[in-house]
Amino acid sequence: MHKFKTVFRQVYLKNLRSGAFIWMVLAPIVIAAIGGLIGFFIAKSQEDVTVALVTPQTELQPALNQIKVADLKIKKSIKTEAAAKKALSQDKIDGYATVRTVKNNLQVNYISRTDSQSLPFTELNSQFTQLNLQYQAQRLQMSSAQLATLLQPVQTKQKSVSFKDGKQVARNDNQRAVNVVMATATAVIMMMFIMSYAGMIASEVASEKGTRIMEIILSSIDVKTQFLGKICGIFALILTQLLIYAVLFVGGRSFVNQIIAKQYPQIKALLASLQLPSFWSTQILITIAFFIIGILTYTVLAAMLGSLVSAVEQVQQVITPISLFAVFAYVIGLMAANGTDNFIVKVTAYIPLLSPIVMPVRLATEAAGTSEALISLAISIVVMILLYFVSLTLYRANVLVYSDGNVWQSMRSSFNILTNRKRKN
Amino acid sequence: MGIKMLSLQHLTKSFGKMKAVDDVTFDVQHGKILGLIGQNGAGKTTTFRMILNFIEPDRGLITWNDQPFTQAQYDELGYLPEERGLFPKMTVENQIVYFAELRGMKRADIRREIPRWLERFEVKAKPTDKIKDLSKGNAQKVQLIATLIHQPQLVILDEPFSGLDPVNVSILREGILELKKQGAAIIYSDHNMDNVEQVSDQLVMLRSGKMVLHGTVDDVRQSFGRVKLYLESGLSAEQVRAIEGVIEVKEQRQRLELTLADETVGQKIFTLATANGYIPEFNQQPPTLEEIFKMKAGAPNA
Repeated sequence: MHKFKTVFRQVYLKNLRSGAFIWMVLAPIVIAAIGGLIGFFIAKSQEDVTVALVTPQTELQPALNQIKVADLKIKKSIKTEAAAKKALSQDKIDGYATVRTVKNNLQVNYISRTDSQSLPFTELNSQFTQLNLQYQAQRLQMSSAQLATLLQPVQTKQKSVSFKDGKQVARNDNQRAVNVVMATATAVIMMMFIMSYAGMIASEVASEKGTRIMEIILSSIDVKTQFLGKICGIFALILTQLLIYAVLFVGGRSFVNQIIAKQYPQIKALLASLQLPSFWSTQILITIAFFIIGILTYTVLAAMLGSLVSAVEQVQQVITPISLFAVFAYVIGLMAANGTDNFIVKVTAYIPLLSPIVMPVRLATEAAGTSEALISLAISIVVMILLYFVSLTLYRANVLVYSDGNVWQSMRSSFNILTNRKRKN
Repeated sequence: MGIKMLSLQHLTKSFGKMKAVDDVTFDVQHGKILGLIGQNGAGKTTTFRMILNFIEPDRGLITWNDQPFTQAQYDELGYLPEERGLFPKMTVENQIVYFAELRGMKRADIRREIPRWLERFEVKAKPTDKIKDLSKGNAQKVQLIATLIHQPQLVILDEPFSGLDPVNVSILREGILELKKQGAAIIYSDHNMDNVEQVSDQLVMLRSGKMVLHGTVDDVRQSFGRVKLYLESGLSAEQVRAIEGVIEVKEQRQRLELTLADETVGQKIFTLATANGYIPEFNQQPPTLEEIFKMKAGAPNA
């Protein structure tokens, strides 16, 4: 127990102080902060689009004055095409529209600068269409009642639904967008952490082996204790990282609630309208469980793979296959985040090593429910325990065998050592 | 109690078709030092690795104090691997603490002991210095302290002297003799026969996994007879070469180094050399370990 603690503390403290760990903890925060800042500045720098609406026919002028489009600034002072052209050349407006009647129909010509923000054509078009209808009604001398019927828009209603445990749950569109963002973030963060932790333990094992420190350690304690100590050290690092995020999350939330929400009431309203999962929701808890199990499974594998190589320089060679696996899971995760619900996505949500990324994403998009997630989690845990013992056996066989050959050769030779040992016993 | 010691009996290990260690048998008593010599690839490291439980022998038995040597006894062991390894980013103190803790020592005890050991081995470094900033010799001494600080009863040193300058070699030699005084059983391997001759109580020489020599340094040397003769007299190299039983004559400035067919030839030469009375040197000795080593290492397998 004393020796287990020694290895555990060594792995934990050494990596806790390492630049790699600190960066890994900070990276998501930094990325989120940069993303937030960029978004903030883009939103701020985006001024309203300015246009001028001009017509050579003065009888159309009052009708043009009625046009209103959200986020669109219409310069009413510009009344002639010549003035509009001049304003456009001086970049005072982003574009202008010339309206005239041709064969009893309104004709609109848009002119806009290529280096300016684009005009909201859809909104403008619908306004002009309505204007045209009014113009035609006037021309055909329709009654105002007839006109009202004519202008009556089609009645549409929109509602997107999702299914949770077989029950239909109503969600508004904003909620769907939040889910996609959260799911994508889950996939990105999962992959990033899996790769970081896998790399961390693989190079740790490889460097101990490469510097022959392994020989000293393994003449002091048995392999099982050392392996378990390492895995538990990494586990403690994961918990530390989660704890840091929990503290930041709780602190950050009260910061947002008290300071930002006061200054920007519209943000507060938006946040209130969205159902962000609360901290202790099942979704978050299951995602955290997948996070831990996923990283531990990859860690166990990476420790075994790290024991195959003879020097730390070769780590990349053995880490690549599991990195590819994580990337594969990530790609499927992104597919799932964008609403794909095909056979591959459904199946991989249950396959260990892939499920830690895919299932939380499906959970976030509400494509899978709690019970499905729990089944997948259980499969992952069982496979992780099996992998632990397989990896330990291989690790034991590999960790003191040095070979100049490639990884496959050392795998084969360690397999030989294993079978020899079995035959003897 | 019986005699407590390390005992290897008929140890055999093959890798594929190659016999790395072939029927090796020897004991190391407490308070004794055994030097394991042999060329690279003779099976020294494989023997060590079998003692350490890293690899299992195909045949044979290893016992420590009449018990199989297992992980339970790891705390009594001090092991210095052939290729040295320390964590470059760790401080001297943390490195020693880590290794010693793995041998079951308490942190506080280790911390208290460190300054004494640094001083004893004349390590020119503070406990707070990082390993990567140390010179090679100092790093090696730190490694040695980490091997010995827990006062092991069984010490295995794989080429402990390699890479050390003569001053450090003698410091290390003192350290090993000190351990011996405390009753540790020590095995070490070396290429330098001078060290072996000065430090070892016993030696074992391996060639292609087989034991070719075994015994105390004196016994091993005596078993070859006094066939080496260093002579400074009126006799010339030609005159000596003509004597029957003289195999080889080498001229070294004034004196001659002779190899004899057997000891008795020496008497004949003595009579001839002292015919005119006083001579400065007549020194008849068994071959040095160095010479035996070269002889044995070069001999064809018989």
